[in-house]
Amino acid sequence: MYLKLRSRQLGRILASIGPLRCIFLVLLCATLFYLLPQIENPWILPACGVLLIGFYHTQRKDREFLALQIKKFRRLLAIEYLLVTTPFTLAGILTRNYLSVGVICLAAMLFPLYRPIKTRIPKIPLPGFYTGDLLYRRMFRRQILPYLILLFLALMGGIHGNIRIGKACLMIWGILEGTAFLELPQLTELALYRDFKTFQKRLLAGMVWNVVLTSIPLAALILCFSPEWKQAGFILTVSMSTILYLCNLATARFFHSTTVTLWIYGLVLPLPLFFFSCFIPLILIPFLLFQAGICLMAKTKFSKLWN
Amino acid sequence: MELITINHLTKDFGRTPVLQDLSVSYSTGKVYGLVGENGAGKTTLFNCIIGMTDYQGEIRKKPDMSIGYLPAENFFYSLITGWEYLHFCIKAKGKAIDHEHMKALNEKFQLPLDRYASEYSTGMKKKLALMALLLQNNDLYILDEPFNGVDLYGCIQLKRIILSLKAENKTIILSSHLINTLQELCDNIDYLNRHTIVKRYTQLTTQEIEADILANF
Repeated sequence: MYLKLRSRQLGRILASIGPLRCIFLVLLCATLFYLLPQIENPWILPACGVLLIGFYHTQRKDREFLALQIKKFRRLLAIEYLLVTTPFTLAGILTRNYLSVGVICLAAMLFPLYRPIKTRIPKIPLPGFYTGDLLYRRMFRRQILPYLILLFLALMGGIHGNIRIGKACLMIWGILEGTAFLELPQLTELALYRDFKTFQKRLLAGMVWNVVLTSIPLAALILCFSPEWKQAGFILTVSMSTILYLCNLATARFFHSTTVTLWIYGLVLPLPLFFFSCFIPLILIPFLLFQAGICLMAKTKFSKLWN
Repeated sequence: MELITINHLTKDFGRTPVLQDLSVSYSTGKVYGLVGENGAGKTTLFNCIIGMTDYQGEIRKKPDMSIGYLPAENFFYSLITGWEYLHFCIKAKGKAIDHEHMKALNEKFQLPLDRYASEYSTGMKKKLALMALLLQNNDLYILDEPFNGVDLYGCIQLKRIILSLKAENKTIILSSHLINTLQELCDNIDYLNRHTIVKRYTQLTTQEIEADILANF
């Protein structure tokens, strides 16, 4: 009954995305299915299968509901996971990689027994942060550990005379900061602002303040071990790129209706611009123009909100 | 004075009509109720007024008017405390933060503002969102099902807040299924049915309104 319901749901999803996208999806699946048996490393196939099951199991929200409705729901989940990973097991059988088939089947049996642990992030007070930016605060609370690791790596790099590590850490921190805005917003969030100008003003003020604040320790480490104008210039360029990158994502996310398209957009346009502008400061000019274009588009699209 | 005038508003989602040729106006300093069955288009009407969705027709708003919207279901980002949310909302309206005012208002709402807002109960979330709107000091408050999920004490407080806003010459539009509460609070109650506002009740008793709605259903 449950599997019938799920297959009906899948059918409806396919019907809703339209025939063209369905063909694209089928072609993508066929390519994957063709490529899977070509993999020579025997561990890639089971790793992909286990990761797929793991991701699906930890992300699913219907566990409590199923546990209430069905007595042996774990068996049901195991069957579902086996069905989901059929392409991997078939690829394993075709390539006579029976070990991968065994590993995937075992994962499908064991994952239903696993209860995802709810991690509780303690309330870290952030008094120095800009108060008008919620998402940056949230990102910092999530990324505090990577941030400390980056600081440690930058320190180690400096001690061992490799200043490039510190520079790389500064750039990686910029990318991590971007994760703050890779989530779909509610349109009601925009309605909270007085007008578009206030929205952009607060956004820019928040980015400049927060980016500078969190970059200071990394920048200080770089300059401490290599006090040169060249390094100062690099820090300035990365900071400007990061501010533009964050402002771009924070504005552009309101145009997207799915997280996938938002991620694709982030990876295809602002991220390369951020990356290359860190090394070639001249790229900051097209990046700035691009951001201005995004702002204009947002102003036009949401003009009724503040009319 | 007219704050919002809506003329011949039409909105559809594909082939499904939601609002058709709806005309209504809202004046300053009054409380308006909006009733209608589930799916009648109450939230869609609110979304049109705020400008969150496209529509056909005309919605004329008083220039430089600020609107505070309380959605039926409030969303809060995880890992954000109640205080931080309130700070954000005040800054978003370009206003200065008045800690004393915030504390005084929280005496009424009794919210644990140091906790993450996403961990609040439904009623607490609603209270927090409403508190943010009050701190923003808007001209118009649009409250979508404000009494849903709010406890007894909260409902009494909410009613008092609405009346105090009215005393401050603010305009409030609220939707609810509780006709007796609306009758108690509102100057006018609009009945949304068959994609448009079919009637505006003024100075009628709850029983009379209910009898009329049943007759028109």
